[in-house]
Amino acid sequence: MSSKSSSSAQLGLNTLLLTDGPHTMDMLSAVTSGFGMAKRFKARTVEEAFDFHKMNPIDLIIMDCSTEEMNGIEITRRFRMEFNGDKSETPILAVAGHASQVQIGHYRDAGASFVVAKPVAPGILLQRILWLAKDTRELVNTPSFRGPDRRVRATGLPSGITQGRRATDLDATVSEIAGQNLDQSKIDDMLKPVRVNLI
Amino acid sequence: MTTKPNHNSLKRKLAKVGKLPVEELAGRSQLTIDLMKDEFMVVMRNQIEELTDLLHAKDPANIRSIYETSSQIISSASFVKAETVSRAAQSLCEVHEIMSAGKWDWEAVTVHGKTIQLLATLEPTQDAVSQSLLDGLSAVVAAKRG
Repeated sequence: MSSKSSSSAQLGLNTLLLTDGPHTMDMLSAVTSGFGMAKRFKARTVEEAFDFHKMNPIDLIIMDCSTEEMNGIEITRRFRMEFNGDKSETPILAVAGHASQVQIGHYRDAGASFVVAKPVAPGILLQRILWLAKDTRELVNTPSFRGPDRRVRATGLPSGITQGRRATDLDATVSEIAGQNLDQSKIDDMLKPVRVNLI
Repeated sequence: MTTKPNHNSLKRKLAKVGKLPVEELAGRSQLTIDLMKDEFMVVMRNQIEELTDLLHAKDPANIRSIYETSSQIISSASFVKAETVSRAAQSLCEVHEIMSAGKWDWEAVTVHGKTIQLLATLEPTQDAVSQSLLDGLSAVVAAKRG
């Protein structure tokens, strides 16, 4: 690795980190430490996070909240519904402890931009952030939902491929996967949009 | 319902930055993580002790805390490259979710807790033993899923 030639590489984003565990902030900080963020605002309560978001131009919210008191799904919904304008549209990247299809669906329906399953490696998190930069989903605003367009459908394997490489790859019948822990590729499939013709 | 194009500040900023050396940025973070390995080894062991206490008490009021602690172990174990411990904690989260929606079984979570304890003490050379223990947990999850 040439530190001289490319050590200045940086994302330059103002990022809000929100987490509730006593050590999870240290972990989240370490995972994002090399990304070259412009600023990292570290919040351990929802109130603190909301204050940071109100007072600063936040480009990205990364949250790892899994306790009853700090439910990441509900907090995601609040970020979307309790802020207005640009601040209600800030990308939210949620870290989930247990990536079941049900849980990922709840995050998506609360307005999360992306869900990353634990354990979170720096490369994985960075790839998801870069994916958000290319996110083509429109933003939907309704009385009960704000967030990236959720109108997606499972597409299964690419045309011409009859068998996936992984046991968890989608095939023509997908009814058996409910409740199982999902790998990151399946989470991605739940969040990436494929436009559907309504007529 | 209204829709609008997504032109947030993250997209604008990263469009200006252009192509980024992902491996280099991730590698810088990994260096930080490696420096914290000893610290997180202690964190992981404390979390496993906490989980053991929660499971020993068999108090229904602790059911949510068991999930939360397991979720934390997934992170700390992956930080110290204790992948088998991390996978066992993931399995506990999975069986926890299955049973939370149906019939709770303390034996199924207790065996996960004991396995996590054991895996944390095994040497990296004991791959076969670790795999055997993880296979056992997979069988428990499969049985609970029905």
